[in-house]
Amino acid sequence: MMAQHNRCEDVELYVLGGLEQEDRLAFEAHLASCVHCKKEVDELMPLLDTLPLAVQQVDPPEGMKDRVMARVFDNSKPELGTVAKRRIQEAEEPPSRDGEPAPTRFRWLTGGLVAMIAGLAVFSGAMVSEVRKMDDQNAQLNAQVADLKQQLAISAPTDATGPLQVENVVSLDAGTADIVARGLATIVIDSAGTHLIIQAEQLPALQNEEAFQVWLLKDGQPASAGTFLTHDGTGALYHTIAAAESEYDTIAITLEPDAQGNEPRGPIVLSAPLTSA
Amino acid sequence: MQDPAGDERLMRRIAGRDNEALEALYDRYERPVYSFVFRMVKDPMAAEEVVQELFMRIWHSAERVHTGGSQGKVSTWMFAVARNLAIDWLRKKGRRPQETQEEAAWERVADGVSTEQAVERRMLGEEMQQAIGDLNEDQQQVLNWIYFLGYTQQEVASRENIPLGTVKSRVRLALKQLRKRFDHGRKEGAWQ
Ligand SMILES: [Zn+2]
Repeated sequence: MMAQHNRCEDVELYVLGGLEQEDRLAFEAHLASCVHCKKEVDELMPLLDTLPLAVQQVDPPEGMKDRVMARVFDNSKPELGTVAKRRIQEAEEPPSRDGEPAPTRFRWLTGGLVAMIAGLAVFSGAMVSEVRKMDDQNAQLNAQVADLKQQLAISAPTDATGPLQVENVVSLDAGTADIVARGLATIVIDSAGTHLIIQAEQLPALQNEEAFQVWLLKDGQPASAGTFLTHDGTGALYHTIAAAESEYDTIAITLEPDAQGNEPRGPIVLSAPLTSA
Repeated sequence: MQDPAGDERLMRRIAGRDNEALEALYDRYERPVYSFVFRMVKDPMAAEEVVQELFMRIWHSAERVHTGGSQGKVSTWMFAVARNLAIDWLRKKGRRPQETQEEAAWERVADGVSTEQAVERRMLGEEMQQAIGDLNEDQQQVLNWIYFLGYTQQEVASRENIPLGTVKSRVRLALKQLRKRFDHGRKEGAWQ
């Protein structure tokens, strides 16, 4: 290393939320073993409880509470909320007023995801960059994947020869009762191969060298799909599956003592069966 | 913030699917959370969307939210989530709020908040506003860009053409000064 990054100097930016994902992850890894920074974070935390109050107080719009509460209590499934439902309705409707044919919308959505996957593929060597990209696009991706899945389900063979196909979207369930994490695994196929996108949240905090590791299993035999760290319990991973190894039946995320393992050593945090689409 | 234990109790009830508890939490935080988000997105519709999404998340993940001790308080978590959602919205829109819209004509100062909690909160907020006002201009700017507008250190550096190290040191000095001010306040019981 030419210039050693003094992570202790990032503590204020970390607390304030001003670090890029890459630096944030690096800082969190550092934080796990730096007593000084832990103390600093603890001492800075109370500021964050008062900073948001230092803004001009404004009246919320009329009737906001009723609208918010109605929407919250109406939507038991936030992952496939109103936006996805609306898309289904739109897709079932005849071409829109301005004569735009229905498939256009579908291609547009597909294009967005293709662009994102292509963007990720460029960085396939640098995991950290991918994780950062994933983080930025997480919310967007969630919505897009949900929409896309719905679109595929209803307009099935329309775009079968297209450049990209969402093979499978599975939600990952907690391995044991005391784990509250949840996640989403999306398998996408394009001309470059089969891609696995993992997003998880509410993961347990990592200590020291610990890392989360993603495994693809076939008949109980695990193959590593990479490791990731988390920020505030949220993490993401992108992995390209070689053509020859695409017949997996299970996906699992374990909490590992470090990121160096070739086989699972820690407990399963999240897992799901992979049924073929 | 003012009643962390009460917030904790509400969160536990929300985890047990208690509608009234969610409404109670909403009533406690509607105005400060909305004001904070509005400060970031500068758009009443967008601010409402963010508040909507925040309470959606609270409702659906209350049982997974671990607060207390070093995890911070419920309110800290709520504001952090609200800030992230606001930043998501800003990035998705590909636009940044205009500083000059800050004093929009239709923006009214909140009135009639009379609960003890609201009064205390307003007092703390004003104290913090004053503390920020006492920072030098450079420090105020980086605090605003990073915390309230959601820019990262790199974005501030390239957008404002300031060396990374300078951004970092301004943030450090700003927080150091705010902390000094509030550590002092805490001893006098004005903090928490
Ligand atoms: Zn340190």
